[in-house]
Amino acid sequence: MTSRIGYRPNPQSPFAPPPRRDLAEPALAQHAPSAHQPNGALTAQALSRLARPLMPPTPADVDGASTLVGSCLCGAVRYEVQGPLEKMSHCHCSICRKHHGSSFSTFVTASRAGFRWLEGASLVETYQSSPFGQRCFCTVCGSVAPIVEAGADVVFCPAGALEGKLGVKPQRHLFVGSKARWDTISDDLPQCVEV
Amino acid sequence: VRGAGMRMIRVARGAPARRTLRGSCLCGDIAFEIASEPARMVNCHCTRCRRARGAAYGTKLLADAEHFRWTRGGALVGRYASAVAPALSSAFCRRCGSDMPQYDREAAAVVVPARTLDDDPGLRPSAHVFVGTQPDWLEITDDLPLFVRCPPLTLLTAD
Repeated sequence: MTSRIGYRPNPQSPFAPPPRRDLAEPALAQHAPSAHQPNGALTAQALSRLARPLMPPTPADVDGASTLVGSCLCGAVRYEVQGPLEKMSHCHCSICRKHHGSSFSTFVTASRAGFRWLEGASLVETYQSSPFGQRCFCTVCGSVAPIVEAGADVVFCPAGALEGKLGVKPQRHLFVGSKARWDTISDDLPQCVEV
Repeated sequence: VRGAGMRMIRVARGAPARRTLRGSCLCGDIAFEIASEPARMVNCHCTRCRRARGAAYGTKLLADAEHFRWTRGGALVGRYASAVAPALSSAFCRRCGSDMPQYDREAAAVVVPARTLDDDPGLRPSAHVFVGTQPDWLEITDDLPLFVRCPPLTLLTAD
């Protein structure tokens, strides 16, 4: 069907008009347990009962584990860092936003001496993103890899790629001065204009 | 000639106002555009987003694939398809490693990493989806609704 102005509706499109409410509601009610609000979102109580149900426990889930393992999406690149970890920051700089595709990145700082590639170090590609910094990624799946700079005492690990409990929480927002205008920060952590 | 003129008039009078959103990777080799208003934006906490981007969560914009196109370097997009879980696929710039839109000609929608956009999409995240597997260090402090899976897009508000 093509309308007068040439617009052809696509029923598979996510923009297709929503189904009629009187048809949609009984189906919705049938699938919505009481833990859900009318729009399908979880209630706060239901959320509190969700304790990592979909991920099997890893050795690092034991509190105080000293060695943490990280990997990329495809598993070709794996590495370990020695705890305890001290610094964790959300970074809003334009390079992080572009590279991660998210509003901010979250990096933990670990000592270079305790860092070791377990697998796939040769698969990690480095891109010089500025005169001072570089970005590393897995060439198989494109995942962000730790930034290990020659001569540095520390390595920067993407927090989300480390498995288990890290024993550290985010402490600050960095480069808030260059965050996207349309991003808002809703927590109470200190905000630094730059580092 | 007369037909072309008629068509121009129809577009001017009947088509909704459209804004083209542009995006690119960190090194600039790859660029893309979305020629219609995108549908929804969500903060995604799935394992793929966290493991691949190393970030707390991914902010994703869902747009109609019909209106998406690569404007530069489409051949430079690296793709990874997981053998065990098709959802764990990813697209990235092979030169700088930036997350890139997951565009499939066959699919109805394209999933765009929101912060690769160069323009303000005029849209804000409307929900957190795939919550439940987020790491212990992440606390969700805003008031957006939380979903264990991604609900039908029609249930999400547009801003």
